[in-house]
Amino acid sequence: MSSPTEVGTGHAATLHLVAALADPGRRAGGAQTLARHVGAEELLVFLFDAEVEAYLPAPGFVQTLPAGRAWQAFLRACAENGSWTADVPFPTSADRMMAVGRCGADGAVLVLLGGTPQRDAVEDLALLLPLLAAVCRGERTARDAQAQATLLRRAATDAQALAEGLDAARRELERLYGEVRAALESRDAFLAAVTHDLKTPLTAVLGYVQLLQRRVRRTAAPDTERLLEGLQQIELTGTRMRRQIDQLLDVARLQMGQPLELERQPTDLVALCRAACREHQIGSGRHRVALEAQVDRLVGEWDPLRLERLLDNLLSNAVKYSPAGGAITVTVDADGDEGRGAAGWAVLAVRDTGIGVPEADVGNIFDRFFRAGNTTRQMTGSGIGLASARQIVQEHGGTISAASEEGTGSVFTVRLPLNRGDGSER
Amino acid sequence: MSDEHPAAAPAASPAVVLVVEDDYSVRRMLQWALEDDGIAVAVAENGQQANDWLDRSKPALVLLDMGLPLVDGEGVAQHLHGRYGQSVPILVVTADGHAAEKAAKIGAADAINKPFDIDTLVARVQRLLPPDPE
Repeated sequence: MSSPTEVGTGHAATLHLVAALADPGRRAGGAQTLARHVGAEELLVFLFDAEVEAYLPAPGFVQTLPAGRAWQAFLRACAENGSWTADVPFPTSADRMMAVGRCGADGAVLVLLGGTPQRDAVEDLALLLPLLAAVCRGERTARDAQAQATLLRRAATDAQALAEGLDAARRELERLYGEVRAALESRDAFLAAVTHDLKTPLTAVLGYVQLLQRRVRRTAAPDTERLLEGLQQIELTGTRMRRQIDQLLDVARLQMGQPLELERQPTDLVALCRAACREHQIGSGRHRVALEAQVDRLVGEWDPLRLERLLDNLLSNAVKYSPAGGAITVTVDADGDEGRGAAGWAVLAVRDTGIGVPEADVGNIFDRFFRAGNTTRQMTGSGIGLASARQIVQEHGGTISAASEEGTGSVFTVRLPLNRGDGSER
Repeated sequence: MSDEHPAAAPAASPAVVLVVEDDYSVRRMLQWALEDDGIAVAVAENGQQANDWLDRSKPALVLLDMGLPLVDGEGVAQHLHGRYGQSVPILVVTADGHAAEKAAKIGAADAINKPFDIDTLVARVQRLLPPDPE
């Protein structure tokens, strides 16, 4: 690899390099830099005070001109002096122009730098000097040098543009990331605050209710029955509040793509269904809520609070979407799966005779925030009940499905594996 | 309110449960629930009060809320452990839904999420109390 110095030395011709440096601050260093890059026998560095200047090294031709005009003057000089050749000037950047001319037999090369150098003009020049030296020796044409310089410039410009683009993209990503983080943090904080603020009074209400119940039972006062009934209602309300809070938290987890942390323990589905039916029967005089269990007990390793919520969601829907009242039937059975021994499924179905779900909507009712087209304004809902139900069932390794006919009623069927590993592990 | 400020430490009674809870209603309810079952109770409404009480007396158990003014539940646990080692069990009671996590973090014996069932709470407390000497 040949260094610029080697290129310059060993050539018989006298090499005159003329550099017009517009930046006064760079002139002192400029001469040294140029000398280092080109082993010119004679290096001429002409320094100017004006911002945009040029110098033509012809006898009697000393002028200070803006680069564009300097180039014009150079062209005129070429026309007057047959030994000079001029090449087309080329812009090196928006604010600068570089031109290269070959000054005939004596091998002088003219470099014109126009505009206000915002970057290091000397470095720009140094980059080109080896080529200019080759031009002097006639090994390359000035046009080659221009082309090379243009390529170098373009590559540098492209690289700079790319770097700037990447930098902008990175800043934008950082900004977006910050926004997302802030949003997540504020939502987490909101949820934590809501949860805490609701659960603390709830703790007190539920606690007092239970304490009162204990005391009333112990004293056996005449109106204890009425008192107890009222207190039971308060407790029921508190329990509903807790269920709603838990559901909100679970849905938030669903939204964040996080799994539920199931608290599995031996749980009797029949007992849960019995309690849920009783609760909803108390809540509505218009409906007949009946449990048809084919077995006395059906115990699996399930999360009892979440199954309670699942049942509550399905029964609440059955009540809500049967505005005229009617029969609501819960059936529970074990599906033995003959041939597979004890491994099997608990099958739960909640059947109502309500407004049903339009055929076109049945496929979407388990989606979060989706509500069927035939729900009315009175049937308020957030659209998270069935999404939450599906989440609970799926986390247990089970399935949930709906069959419905608009105007006739709906059946929601849940299948839960009786054995824990069955379908829940992957 | 002065009636529910921590009184002078009961004289060497081994079965005092220190209830540390900032919410007045919940604190009174916890006190009532335990006293109904014959358990002696001292109360503190913030972590600093709890630590001051612990400087004067050794409880049989600390029922500890985590989010407390002045000194939080973790600070109380550290103070308790610094003073009595592991000889006094802690039952964490918290409303953030991560009671077990919190308990593990501060070296508590047990944890219960709010809201809770009174019977469950009392049973958990009874289980952590040393057997009645009488």
